[in-house]
Amino acid sequence: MQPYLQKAMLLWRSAATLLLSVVTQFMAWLKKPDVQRAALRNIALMIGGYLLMLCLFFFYSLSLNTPDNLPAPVAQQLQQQDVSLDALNEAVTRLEKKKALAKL
Amino acid sequence: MWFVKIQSAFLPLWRAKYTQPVLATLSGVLLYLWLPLFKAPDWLVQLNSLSPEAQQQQLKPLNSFYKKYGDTAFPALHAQLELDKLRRYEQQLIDDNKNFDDQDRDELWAEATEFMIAHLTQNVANNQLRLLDSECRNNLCRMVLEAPKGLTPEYRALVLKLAGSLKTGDLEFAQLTEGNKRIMLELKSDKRLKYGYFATRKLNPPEKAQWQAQIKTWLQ
Repeated sequence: MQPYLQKAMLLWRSAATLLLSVVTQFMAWLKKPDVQRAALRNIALMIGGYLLMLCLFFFYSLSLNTPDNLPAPVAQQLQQQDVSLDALNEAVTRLEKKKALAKL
Repeated sequence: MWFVKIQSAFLPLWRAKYTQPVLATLSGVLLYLWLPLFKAPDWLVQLNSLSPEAQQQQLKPLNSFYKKYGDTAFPALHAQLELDKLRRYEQQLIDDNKNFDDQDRDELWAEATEFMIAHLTQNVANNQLRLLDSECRNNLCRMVLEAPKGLTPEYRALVLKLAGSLKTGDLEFAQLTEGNKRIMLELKSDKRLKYGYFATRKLNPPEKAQWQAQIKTWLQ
């Protein structure tokens, strides 16, 4: 075997042993009942925070009104598009220009 | 004094009891802001923050477009919006690759161009220029030339001659930096940038051809 490969194998073995001991210690720590309880509580709170924001965003979206001066079919069509007003107007301008060029 | 006493009595308790839960909830909130499951469209939020007159002004191009072409233009509008998103993403990638240090190496092009630079430097100025180093990345190249007497007029003429030859090989002279007994030239190519696997995939989604076809159909 090449000498550098022998060195690499030694290095790999010691790294793997170290990693295994860290994982074993972590698993042993995780098995403690108070740690498990705290971990579960924190995960539940994280999901709770996420769901809270989902509710906030949902109720906020319900409070938004579609302007009267926007035709209903256009509003319905745009409902699926998450774009800014500038992007919308840019797309319209581009299409108008393309149409004008196509007519030439 | 009393405040310090209360603080010293309650702060450790509060920290022990509430720091973890607050951080956990906050991380959930931040996770939503990063990866939202649902949010109102940007245009609707923007319109709701405007006065009716400003709304009218903002919606003028869209309304006149709808009045002119009606419902038949919707597929083309959708396609154009998606294509615009791709164009903006590509522009962002171009901006991210503006500097030499930010670029990854396009191996095939870089190797061929480095060879061309070495070849031209040797032949154009009849071995009067000595190339110390050259490195190409995605569409930018850097070459270091030896300049023992600095940037004298004769030397400058030689460099300009080399730059002219490099231009025929699609390498535009971009920047010159003078160093100690050497100069560094930065050259830029018009070549299209080569992106990584994920960026290329994002830039060329399977629906792209369909969007282009939708616009073409509408234009006819």
